[in-house]
Amino acid sequence: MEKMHIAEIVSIEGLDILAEPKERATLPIGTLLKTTKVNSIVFVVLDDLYMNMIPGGSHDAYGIPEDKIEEMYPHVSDYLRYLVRIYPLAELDKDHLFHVSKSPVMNALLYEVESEEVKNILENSFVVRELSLIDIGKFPKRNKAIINLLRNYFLQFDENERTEKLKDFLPVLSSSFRRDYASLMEIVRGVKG
Amino acid sequence: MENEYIGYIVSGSFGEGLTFKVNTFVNPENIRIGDFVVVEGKNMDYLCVIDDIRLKATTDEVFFDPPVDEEVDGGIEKIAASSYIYNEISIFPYLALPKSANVFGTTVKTLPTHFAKVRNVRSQDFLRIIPQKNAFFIGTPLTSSERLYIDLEKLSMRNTGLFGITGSGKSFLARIIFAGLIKQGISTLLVFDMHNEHGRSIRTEDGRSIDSLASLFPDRVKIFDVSTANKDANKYIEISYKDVEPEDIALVEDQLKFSPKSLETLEIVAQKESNWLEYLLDIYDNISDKKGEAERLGVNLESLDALVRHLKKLKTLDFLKNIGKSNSINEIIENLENGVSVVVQFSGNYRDDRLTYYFVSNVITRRIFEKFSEQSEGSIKNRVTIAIEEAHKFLSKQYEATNIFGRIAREMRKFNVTLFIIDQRPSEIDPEVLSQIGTRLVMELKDENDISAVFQGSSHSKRLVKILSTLEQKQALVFGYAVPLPLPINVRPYDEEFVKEMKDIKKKNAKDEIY
Repeated sequence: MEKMHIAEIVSIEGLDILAEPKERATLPIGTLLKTTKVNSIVFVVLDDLYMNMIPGGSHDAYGIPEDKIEEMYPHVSDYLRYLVRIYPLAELDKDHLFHVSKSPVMNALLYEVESEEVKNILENSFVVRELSLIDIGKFPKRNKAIINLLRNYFLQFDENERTEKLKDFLPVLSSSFRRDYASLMEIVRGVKG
Repeated sequence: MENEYIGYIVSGSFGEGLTFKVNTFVNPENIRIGDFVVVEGKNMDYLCVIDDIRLKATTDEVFFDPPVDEEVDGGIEKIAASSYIYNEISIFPYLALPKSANVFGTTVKTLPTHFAKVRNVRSQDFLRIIPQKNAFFIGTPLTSSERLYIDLEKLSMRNTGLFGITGSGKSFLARIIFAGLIKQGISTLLVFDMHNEHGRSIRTEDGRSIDSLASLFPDRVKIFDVSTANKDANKYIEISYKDVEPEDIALVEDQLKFSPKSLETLEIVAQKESNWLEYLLDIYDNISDKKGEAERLGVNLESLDALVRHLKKLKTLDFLKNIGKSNSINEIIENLENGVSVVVQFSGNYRDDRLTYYFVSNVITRRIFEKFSEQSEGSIKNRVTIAIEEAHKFLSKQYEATNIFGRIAREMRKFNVTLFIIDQRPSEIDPEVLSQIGTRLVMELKDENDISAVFQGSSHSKRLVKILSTLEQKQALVFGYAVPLPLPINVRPYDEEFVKEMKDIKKKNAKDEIY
């Protein structure tokens, strides 16, 4: 049985890419998603938001709590959508990862990246480097996303192994963030707990 | 096996040396000033000595939010911060080791490239330092146990200086080298043994008795003593009045407490009276018309009286006699010419007596100088090494160039006679003499002036000063003619093993160990 997609790309403006999850608030920041059909690109979720698709409108204008909006105004979801902001990290080609060279396709379906695949992806140092190159000014939750991503990754190892795996990983992380000490320490402290 | 690679080259120049960055997981506290490392170049390996360690940071931010201590999180934050904080080590390449094994090192003429790996030194690297058959095991590196060798043949060809504060271990190191020179037949020694340490036996630190030179080599070392109290002596020294020159008295003017005019008065009397010492010690007191005598000699009466009074101290030296030319000094010279080393000791009432030591050493050495300089250059087959302690007394700046030890230091190499000077105050030695020293063995020194003095005339002095400042007791920095690179060493112990090795009939040298 084919695996179900969990989100769909609905807007592409350069690196500002929005996707709509099938279910609201189910994709925490730091989750890895991938497209598979036309091309295979791995994305990281950097933010979630509600966006009014009518230019200039805002759900705040309704003046009622968010959980009441759909009940009272069912049509509201036609204009107000829960979206996630995603960022392309790497391209997958025959099980090898490369720098992103192709554009994602509009309405491409997104699938969750499995744990084992997350391991393989993070073992590529260029992916870690790509994470460090994400503009924190445009994506202010970048560091939190990285913390979540790495925490989930290290949780896959048993407790005894975890610290050693983290120590092995740190030189790559440290090298990638060599120009941003504050972010590096925020991430390390967030990951080690 | 622990990873022996500890870093990689990041910068350098031919004159200033190289710098390497320490690898992240290497504990920098295990790296010590004076350690040896090898840089693996493409065509050559380079044997280097560490002479500086620096802590570096790429940004000040790290100091406002430093990583927590290793005890708190097992070192996670420190590893993370390793791109921002690191250790940089300065090294200097002294020897180029060709890639082929068993080929000895050569002068460095090239440099390795960026990112050349730096590793800990291996035993095989040390074996490629000295190719000569006279390599002698002198000690081990400061932080490992491989053997380090010096070339005793080269050491004996020029003057040698052994420097260090009291208690640094100079006597033990001197004795080790003397034993090596005698054992390998490289040089005949004349040792002025101020503290009676190089005779039959000595006491170790834990109070045991252990053989010294005369017991190690009974056929090749003789003991002469100024005191008949020494039953170990082969001969007793007598010095005739006729053996003494004014210069010998000048050397001990402090011990005789001369007044300012005394020396001048002495020189005048010595010019006027052929048996001046007999005159001053034995005859003058019996002269009734002392004023007339002073006028005859052309000196001030009070100065003459003072001179005679001060010289009376020489009357306490029983070995100083009004006899014809003494035979004992001739016997010393004959022994040296026949390849038998001589240890001159000062026992009984003369033990640790500076007056006796300086006086006797100067008289004997001057006779040797006169005898050897009569011969033609190169005719003396036996190399002679004269060892003196408290050398600053004999070789200080205040004495003129005619001082006998200074002349030997400057002139006697062509006659195969060199000095081995042992001293704790090298800053008081004439800089010209210091510059004549071929090999320097420097132990613990504290005084800044002394430290500057030992490096006078040597290259890489700034670098070597840092190494010297970390030395402890029984450690030495050896550099100069006898070694192709400066060797910071733990001096090998003078113990039963050493004694056994010296007494071993089968001659074993470094070449046996290498091949």
